[in-house]
Amino acid sequence: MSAAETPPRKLDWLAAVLSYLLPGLGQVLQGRIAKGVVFFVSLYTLFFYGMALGAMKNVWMPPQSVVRDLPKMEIGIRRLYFEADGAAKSLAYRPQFLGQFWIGAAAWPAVLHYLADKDPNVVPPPDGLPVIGRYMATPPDEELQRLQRDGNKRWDLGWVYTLIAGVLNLLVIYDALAGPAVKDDEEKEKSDKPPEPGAKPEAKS
Amino acid sequence: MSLFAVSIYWDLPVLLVVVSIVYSATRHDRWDRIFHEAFRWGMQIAGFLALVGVGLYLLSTFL
Repeated sequence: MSAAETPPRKLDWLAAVLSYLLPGLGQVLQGRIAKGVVFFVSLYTLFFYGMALGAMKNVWMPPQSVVRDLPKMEIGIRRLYFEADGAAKSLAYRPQFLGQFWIGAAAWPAVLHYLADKDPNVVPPPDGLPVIGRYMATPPDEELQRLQRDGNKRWDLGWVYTLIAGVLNLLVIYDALAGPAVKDDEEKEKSDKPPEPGAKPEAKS
Repeated sequence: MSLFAVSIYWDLPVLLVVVSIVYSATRHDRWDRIFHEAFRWGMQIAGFLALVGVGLYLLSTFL
């Protein structure tokens, strides 16, 4: 290895998983506490601000009872495609959730609603699930139409914010896994810097 | 006065600040560099949005 090369970083998978669960938690585990707090506050602010713009009704994953009767969805190009079924069909009808999911535990109520409504023989309770109720449940069509019609574009802007928060957390997860994209280690920079002309060499002990 | 009316554009600064800070913080570990790059990205995004806004305003006014 030449002097200019730096050794590869050790990947921290535990920190990456923690940063998925809660943005910045992996960085806190690594001792980069301030940075972890910045990630947490920033991404949760963006995610919940986006949810508030959409009256807290723009993050969901449609369950089987909703997508079962909807037309078939084929995913792919040319001859390489498959008919979407199960979770793939739900995500094909609500692709926004593919981005929103990466915000971590904050998006899990939507997954819980999806999992609770998988069995076609079981009628889901109208009040939703215990504890979370209908939080992040699929809104009825009439309500969605009302939100989009009367929301002054804010409902749509809201899901865009939640999606961007989720996608940004992918960068945060990568930062926890492998460190920052630019390795600007201060000590290394000092050691690499050539000595200034006229400066006395450091005494060796 | 329409600029100061309740508009979705007032919601943009939150997005701009968060995207700039989080993106910059995933690129650097030193706070001076994080803030420097966040400011640079924030200005670039704001400039781009302003340019698009002015372009759309001119199109809607004179076309």
